[in-house]
Amino acid sequence: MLAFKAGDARAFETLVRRHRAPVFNFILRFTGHRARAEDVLQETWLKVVRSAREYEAKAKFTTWLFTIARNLCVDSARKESYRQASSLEAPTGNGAGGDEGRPLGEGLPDSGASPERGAYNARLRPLIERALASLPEEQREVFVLREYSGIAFKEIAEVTGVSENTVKSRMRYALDGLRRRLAEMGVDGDLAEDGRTVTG
Amino acid sequence: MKPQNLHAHEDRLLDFIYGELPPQEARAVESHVEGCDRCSELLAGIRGVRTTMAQLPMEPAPEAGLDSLLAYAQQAARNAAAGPAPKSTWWRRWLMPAMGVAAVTVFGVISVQVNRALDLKEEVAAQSVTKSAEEQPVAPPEPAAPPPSAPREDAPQAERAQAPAVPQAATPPPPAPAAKLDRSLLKKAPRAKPSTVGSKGSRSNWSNAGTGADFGDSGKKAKSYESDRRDAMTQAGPFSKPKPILVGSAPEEEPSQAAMPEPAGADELVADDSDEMFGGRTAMAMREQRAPSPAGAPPPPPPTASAAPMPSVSTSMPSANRPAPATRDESKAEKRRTASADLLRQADAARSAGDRVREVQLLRQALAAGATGKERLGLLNRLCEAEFAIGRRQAAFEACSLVLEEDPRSSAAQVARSRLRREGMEASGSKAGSGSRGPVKAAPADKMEAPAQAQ
Repeated sequence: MLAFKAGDARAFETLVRRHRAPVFNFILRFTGHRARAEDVLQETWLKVVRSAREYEAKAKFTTWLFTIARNLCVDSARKESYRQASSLEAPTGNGAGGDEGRPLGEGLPDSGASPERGAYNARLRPLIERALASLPEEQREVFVLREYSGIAFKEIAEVTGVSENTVKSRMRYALDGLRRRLAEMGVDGDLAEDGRTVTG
Repeated sequence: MKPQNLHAHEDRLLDFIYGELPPQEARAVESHVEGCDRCSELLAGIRGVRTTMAQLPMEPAPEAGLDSLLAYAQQAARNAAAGPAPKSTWWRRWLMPAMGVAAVTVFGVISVQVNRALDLKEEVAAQSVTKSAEEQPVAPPEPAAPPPSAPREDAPQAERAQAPAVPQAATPPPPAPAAKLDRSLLKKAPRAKPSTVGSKGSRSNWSNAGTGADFGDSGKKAKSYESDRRDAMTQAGPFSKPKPILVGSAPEEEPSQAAMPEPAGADELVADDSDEMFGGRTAMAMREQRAPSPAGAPPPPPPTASAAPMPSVSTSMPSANRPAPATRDESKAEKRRTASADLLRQADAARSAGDRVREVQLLRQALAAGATGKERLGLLNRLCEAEFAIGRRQAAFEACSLVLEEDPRSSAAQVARSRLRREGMEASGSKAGSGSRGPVKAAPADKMEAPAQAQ
């Protein structure tokens, strides 16, 4: 970022290639809306370019970048609430309508068969998205930042502007809420693919 | 375990699960969890949620907008490499609006000033037209029978012809001599300036006579006229091109007269130069009175030797101060200056003695003696002031108006304008008696003479 600030356009391209996908996934999971996420992503990088003069290497670039993205997400969510658009509670994926009340384990073959596993995951994804969307915004952002973007709690505290303890508290609430929500949906963590996590 | 301790313990578990603990602490927590059922259950629950949520795949970032973003960044990088933009300080932020407001204000003030000047000129023009329209019934037929579609053409010519009588109408002199003078001048006026009529018709739009447009032209041509007048005083040969003539403008008529054939010799041409002065014009009027002119005579022929200007003699000027005909322009101009300066000194003395009437007479004589340029404008201004001082507002107005017409941009014109304003004669002129005010541009010498004679 300092190189770009000094006038190196290639440095910016490197930054974009490296951080574009994580930022986009954070925005997508924060907003829960793909088109809006794309807009916010573009706005985020434009703001990075415009704000390059003010950038100081006090914190990590990712902290600064996700702070911009998070603020734009909050603004977008506010605008969206004013528009009274579709609620974040609404289904965002396809094919989740008839499967909502049915446990994912029913009617599925045992683990091992790859096509079936793929089909299971395809049905699991909208449920996970709905569970995530059901979280309050401040818990969701902390969970997404930690779980999917790999931002440490201390940095999340900087991004969100709250204390680290508050961040961890929100994280605990988020994990607890997801666990209950997934249980309500009949999604068992043990049924997930290979029991692996994103960052852990 | 107290709730606070419990939360701290759970926070440590979070750090442990997300790998944010140092290895040594991580090993300690791990050993604790193995021996603690509650912590083991808690840890299993977190891991289960994480495992499930990990099923959400990473979405690829859209490529849309990437190129434009990179191009924008490249431009920004170029700008950054070129150097930082100047920081807009507070005074810069305020300077531009302040400058804008100042510019608008200056423009507005200038516009108001120009409009005032134009209003004054239009007023004078309107008065000229009104006066000429009033006197039109007694005006003789034009020698060159103007078309009915251009009725205004009559007005300025009649205006010139009637001009000498105007001041008499404005002041309380005996009516009979004024009427006599009017008639005699009316008969001779068409013959007096035949070439001016012709040249005017060829050069200027008569339909605009007396309008702001025509006066606007006079303002534009004022400077060119000055040079032409100098040429007329210095060159012996006739002018090759006719000069534009304004309504009753004495100075504008000079070049046209100079453009006429000159069989009378250099003396007459030199003497003609003095016609631009008041005395010169008075002499012209007297000349015309003396000249045989049968009533109802046909229009005068084209300019000939008889129509050429005669050596001007001011009736009000003492014989000792009359400019003698000279063969050289320089000597004549020198004599004029001497006579004018002498008269001016006498006028100063009269003013010092408190005799403003005498001062007015001397100023008129000085003007008649042939003052030119700034000296003439200064004399006119002084005359205007003196006339105001003795209460002859009409004569004062005419003197100031002449200043405005001859050089509207000069400082003398500013003084005259402000004086007229002070006297309340700037806008409509009704206070000065517009009905009796004649065309100020016509035959100024005669008009200037009239109040003096009225005394």
